Amino acid sequence: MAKLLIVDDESDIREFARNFFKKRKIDVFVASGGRQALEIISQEKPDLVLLDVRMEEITGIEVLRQLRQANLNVKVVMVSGVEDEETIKEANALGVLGYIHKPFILEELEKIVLAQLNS
Amino acid sequence: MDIRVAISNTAIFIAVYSFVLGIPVWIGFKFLGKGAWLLPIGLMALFATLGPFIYLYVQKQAEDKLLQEQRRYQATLRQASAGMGKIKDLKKLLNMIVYVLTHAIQIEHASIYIHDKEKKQYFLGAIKRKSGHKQFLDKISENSSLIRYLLDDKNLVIYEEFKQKSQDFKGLTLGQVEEDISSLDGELIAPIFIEGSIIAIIVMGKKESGKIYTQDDISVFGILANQTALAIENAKFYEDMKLTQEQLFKAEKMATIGTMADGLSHQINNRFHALGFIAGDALDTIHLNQKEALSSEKSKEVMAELERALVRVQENVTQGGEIVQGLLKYTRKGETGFAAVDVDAVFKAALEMTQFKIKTQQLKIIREYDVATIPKIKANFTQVQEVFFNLIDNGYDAMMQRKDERREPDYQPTLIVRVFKEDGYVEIIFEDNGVGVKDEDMSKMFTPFFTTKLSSKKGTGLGLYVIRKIIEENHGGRVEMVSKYMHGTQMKLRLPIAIG
Repeated sequence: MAKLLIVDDESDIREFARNFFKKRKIDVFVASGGRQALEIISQEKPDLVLLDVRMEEITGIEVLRQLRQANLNVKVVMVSGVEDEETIKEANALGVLGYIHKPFILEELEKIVLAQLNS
Repeated sequence: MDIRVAISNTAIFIAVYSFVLGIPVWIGFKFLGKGAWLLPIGLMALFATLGPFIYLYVQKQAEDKLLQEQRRYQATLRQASAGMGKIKDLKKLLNMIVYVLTHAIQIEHASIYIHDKEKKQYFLGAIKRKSGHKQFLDKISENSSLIRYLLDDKNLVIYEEFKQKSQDFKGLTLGQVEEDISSLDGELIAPIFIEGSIIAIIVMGKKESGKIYTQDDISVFGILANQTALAIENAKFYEDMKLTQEQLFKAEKMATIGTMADGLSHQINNRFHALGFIAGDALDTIHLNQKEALSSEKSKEVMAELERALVRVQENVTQGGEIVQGLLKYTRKGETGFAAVDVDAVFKAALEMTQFKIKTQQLKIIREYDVATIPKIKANFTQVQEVFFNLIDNGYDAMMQRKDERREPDYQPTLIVRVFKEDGYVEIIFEDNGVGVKDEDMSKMFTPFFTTKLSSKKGTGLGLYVIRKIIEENHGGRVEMVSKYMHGTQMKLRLPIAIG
């Protein structure tokens, strides 16, 4: 079963995204912050990570940087709200599959996730 | 008096009186012989010496008696003139002028008309009527004969004297001017000039005693008119100032909101995002279960899932509403009144607002006070909230700047808030361990538009200026700033305790 990790500090996002993807026979993990995300990634090696950029504890970009430093070549899709050009550039430099802007609907996300998991 | 003048006056007095009194003494001695002449001549000498003093004394008494009434009100008017400059509220000032005039001079009525440049009218600013029933005019046109006459004549007009003039005055029919005065029921009209234009007109009615206005009255009104002119200008200036200041306050608030926009849009966006996910998952559940008839077990399960989703929708809507409410609380003008306010409640409200602008998680905020022991302050909640907001925000910026510049490994940005009672006041201290202020900048800290903040985007340079205005002018408190470069800053506020 494909593994998906959703990193977001909003509990509603974690809960309902998990519900949604579970119904599609995907093994869903959730993390509410960067540290938890790094732990899950190193343990579970998910096939895809949906990573929120702006989080309280450590930012999504910082998580990404630490992932690359630890040579964990996991596929990452960044989820962003109101970030500037610079953040996007930085994320691209660290190698992300893409960038989705909030708010978006689950059907859009489903297409992206299924495409990535099947590739 | 100069000693030489005193000696010379005495010498003249002795010389003149020796001569004036010496002649009768010499004649009496020479022609009348000793005895009989000495008493009358002696008395005459005595009375002649006292005479001028008695004359001056009696004259002064008589004058005082006759002019007592007039002097009394003139003194009142002089006093009032001197006090007028202190009144900053135009409406109050005008009311005071008409009140003092009617009561001091004992006249039937007094009113004052103020020039409105845009509308080209003089509008009634204040009126006091003790007796008489005549209706008053609420405005006088700039183009009326009376105004044109006053502009040219530049003097007070006394109706009684004016009626006696019959000839025409520079193309104006005096009859029309007379009509204007009479429609105002005015006995004395005093134009108030500033730089050649009439800014106000005082209209006074008849004296209740029936007496006419004297030349002496007019000279007192001259002083009054000058003082009134200055006082009105002063009050108008102050009103303009207040308006400018309000705009300045608003500009500061708007700039703050600008810097909060990022945080606010993030939060609101997150609510929409969550709503989208909740609705998406619920729809998905419906779609997946639509195709076949559901067992009662399954339908219960679906219903529970949908219920959960709708509860979360409501929750998110409430949160979104709170964000907007919080913003509105900050932007709206706020209650103008003062009330007994709980310092801790204001602090919490301010902290709530700062969430939109700064990451409070990066700070350690220590509240070193016991909510139960602090008395309430006499304050305007919204204004003090703004002050606290600014102080937390300033502390945050200072600490983040130190963190970025110094990169000290053990640095923990800490904001300590202390509140305690002292000298009948509530003392509130915000202490941070940020960059602090350099000595050379210290004197400029409260100057409007001065900012030491790194990016000009971050600071308006109005924060401390507005804080001082709010605390010292609006609340009668005090603001003090103690700072040491690279050590931190202490902002000390002192606010009055609410009574009762």
